[in-house]
Amino acid sequence: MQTTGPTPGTPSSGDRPRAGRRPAPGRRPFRTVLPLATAAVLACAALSGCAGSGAGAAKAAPTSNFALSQITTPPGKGALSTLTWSGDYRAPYSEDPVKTADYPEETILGNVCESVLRTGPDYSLNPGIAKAWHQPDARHIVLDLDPRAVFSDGHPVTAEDVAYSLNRNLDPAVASNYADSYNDVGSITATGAEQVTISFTKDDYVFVRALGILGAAVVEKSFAVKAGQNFGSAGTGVVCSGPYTVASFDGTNTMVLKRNPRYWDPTRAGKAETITFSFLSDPAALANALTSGSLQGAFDLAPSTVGQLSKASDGKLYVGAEGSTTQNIDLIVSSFAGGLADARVRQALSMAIDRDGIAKTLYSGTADPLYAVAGPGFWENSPAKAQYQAAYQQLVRKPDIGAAGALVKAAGATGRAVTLAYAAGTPSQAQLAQVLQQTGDSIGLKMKIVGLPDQQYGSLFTDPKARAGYDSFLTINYLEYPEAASMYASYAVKTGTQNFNGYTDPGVEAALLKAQGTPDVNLRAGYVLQAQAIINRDLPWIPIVQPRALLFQNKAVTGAPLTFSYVAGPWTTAIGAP
Amino acid sequence: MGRLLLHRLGGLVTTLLLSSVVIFGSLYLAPGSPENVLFGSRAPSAAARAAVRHQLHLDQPLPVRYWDWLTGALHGDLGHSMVTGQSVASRVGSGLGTTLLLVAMSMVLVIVFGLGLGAVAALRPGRVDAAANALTSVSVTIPPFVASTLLISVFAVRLGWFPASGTGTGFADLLRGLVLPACALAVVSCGFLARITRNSLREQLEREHVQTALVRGLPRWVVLRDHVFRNAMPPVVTAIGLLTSGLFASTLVVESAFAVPGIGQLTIQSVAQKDFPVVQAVALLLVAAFVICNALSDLAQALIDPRLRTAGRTA
Repeated sequence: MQTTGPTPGTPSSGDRPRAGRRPAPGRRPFRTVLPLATAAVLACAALSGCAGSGAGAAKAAPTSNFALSQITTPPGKGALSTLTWSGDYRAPYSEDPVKTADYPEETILGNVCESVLRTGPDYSLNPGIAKAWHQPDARHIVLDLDPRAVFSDGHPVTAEDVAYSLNRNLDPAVASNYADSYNDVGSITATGAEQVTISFTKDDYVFVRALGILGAAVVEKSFAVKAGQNFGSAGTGVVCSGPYTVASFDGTNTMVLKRNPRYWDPTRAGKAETITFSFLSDPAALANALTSGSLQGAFDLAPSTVGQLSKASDGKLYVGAEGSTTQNIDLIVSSFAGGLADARVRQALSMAIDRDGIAKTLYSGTADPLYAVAGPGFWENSPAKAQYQAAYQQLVRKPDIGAAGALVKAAGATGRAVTLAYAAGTPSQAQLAQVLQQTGDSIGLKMKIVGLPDQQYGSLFTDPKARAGYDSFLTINYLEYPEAASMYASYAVKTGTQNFNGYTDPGVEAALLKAQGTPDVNLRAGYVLQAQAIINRDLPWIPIVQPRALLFQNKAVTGAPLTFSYVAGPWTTAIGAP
Repeated sequence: MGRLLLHRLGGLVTTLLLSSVVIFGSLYLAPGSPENVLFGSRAPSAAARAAVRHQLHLDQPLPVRYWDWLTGALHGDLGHSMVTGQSVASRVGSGLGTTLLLVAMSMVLVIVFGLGLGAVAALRPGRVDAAANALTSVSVTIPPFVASTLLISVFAVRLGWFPASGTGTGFADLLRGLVLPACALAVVSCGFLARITRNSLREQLEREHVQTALVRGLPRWVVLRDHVFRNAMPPVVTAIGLLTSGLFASTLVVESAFAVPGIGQLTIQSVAQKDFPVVQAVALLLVAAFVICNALSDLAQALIDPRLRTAGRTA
């Protein structure tokens, strides 16, 4: 294991997460009713006195009704002729697995296009198209392919197909949304009839996780080459080896999958004959569809639907415990030049936020306060949990407006203007922005919040010019798998794809580079926590809350995972009649 | 009559042409770009971005892109969606029938209940009129999104008579699924039409020739048919035309609330994604619906009133 630190200017860049923001077009109901509870939070944020326990009393939180150790609903036993499920807030843009990394694509396409490794409901890595894998050293992964694997057209899955599929992530012309995970990949080559070798330019024991998500899905090379630019479009489609194939897709309202009759591993075949995914952008319409049974299940539910769904008689709303997803809601500091330039101002803002009140009222208790961006969702089921938890406990604080105000004064920033941008189409973001405005004002800053249309909000993440006008913006981030090193590497090292403010610290760079090159989970946690301590002092992002896993499942079906793993693996095969 | 038709057709073409320029231009000027949608949250390399922009013809100047679109459209090719790569005709076509059926169903409701209520109110002054008045006063204040929520909670969730969302498979399911959305759409328009019908009939009833005819002992129904209803029709027909075209716009809201797979959802998504060819097609369809509805109401008026059968009078 290489232990030398990084040379300045060549910072560590670990396995970059698909730390996708939730592009906002999702939560856009036509009738946005500000919950009454919001008023409580607003009032609370304005009054410094009701920090802490006071705000929590505003509304009783729905209690979690399954334990973190329970990772799926009871597995389905019987066959189903049809299964109808929510495909999230919009239709996939493409059937090409690497085109877009967002909820609809990652929820659906993993069931059609299998990845090299299979991520289980407990986030474990299992044999997939590769029946075995090992790292002979820190710079190589060798994959031994399963000779049984065949594509849906009957052709065998060859080492050539696997190398081609993975290499698409390196090809700028493909513009893979997972390309950043492959930054430290040197080459991917077929080194035998049933063997593929991946070599790295830096020591890397974290990359292997990227082989279990949609970015590492295997497509048939001959078909993809022939289809060219049309590969994955609704008219052309894809040829993959997964348990389902796309039967029909209208591009807007529904995508129908049917069981792949040639699926090569009978033990993992789907139980439902067909699966229909519908795309409802209005959370109220989704809740109605679920309570009336026209949809049988949904992940990633909006907090506003919790009240209605928890009373539904035809199915059950599962509310996870703290740390049941890797989703994290943060305030991204977009520039160190403006109102948030001084670290003390960022610390003061973070210190003053009433996270508990926000989680209980704005999110109806379906979120928990978050004190580090890679919070409990990243280590709750990790062997290194004790280490992570001890460090996390140190960060848990009650809001302290007095001390925060004093810190702002000490920084000479009283009255300084701070702008915050958010997605105006997402009600929970609009409410959160209002609360943060009150918080900022209460400690002597002059917060200005700007609601942006979805398109403009989305371009904050890709276009430096778009974010130049704002000191900060809100994000709902996630990572497909719980690896804190990857989450931090996405925004706190110089080359991180989500490093919008140019943050860099030699201590963080060195620690995360070491974490990436460390095979032992406990040792790695030590390095991550070194980085976390510095990141939490400098606060390039300010963590706010972490949503809990929400799943609704009709009584007629069972088997859906209770973890966030549905964005990584072929989860539909476990669902059947109870 | 022929001249009137020609005149209207010319108006339609001109309106469509002008609106296509305006829609294309405003999409172009709005912030954001379709390729950003495709790249999601990732910042692509300059080369990758350029390749995608080239493929989508986004690197060409606006007039060239508009000209390409226009010549394509004139040859019957509306282009391909920039986001999904499907042909625009197939994306729009899949939902168009549903939306047309939805508008037709709610117009039937509007005409039956609006005309009926208005006529009853006009012909039965006193208590019936007052009751009808109260009813229409309430109905014109219920916008479609409020009506949707009410109808869903009562008829779909509580009573379970109709589906709360979606339209199922098959024509019977489709009709059943569209009942509540059609009602939600029709509520406001019913109220308006009833008001207009009532006032228009009242006005005719009070006319001297009607009074004279009644006093001279002509049968009441003959007077109503020949003198009252026929003369009261023009403003009513105009209102029906306007209300129908307005319904097309309201379908965006109602289709989203009921998860009806019409073109409403498609419109909202495509605008958000700046999917030029799809937005262009859907927006022009809405414009065309507006122009055609108004033209039809003019033609209907010309049929009712011979004095209007020269093009100049109605243009």
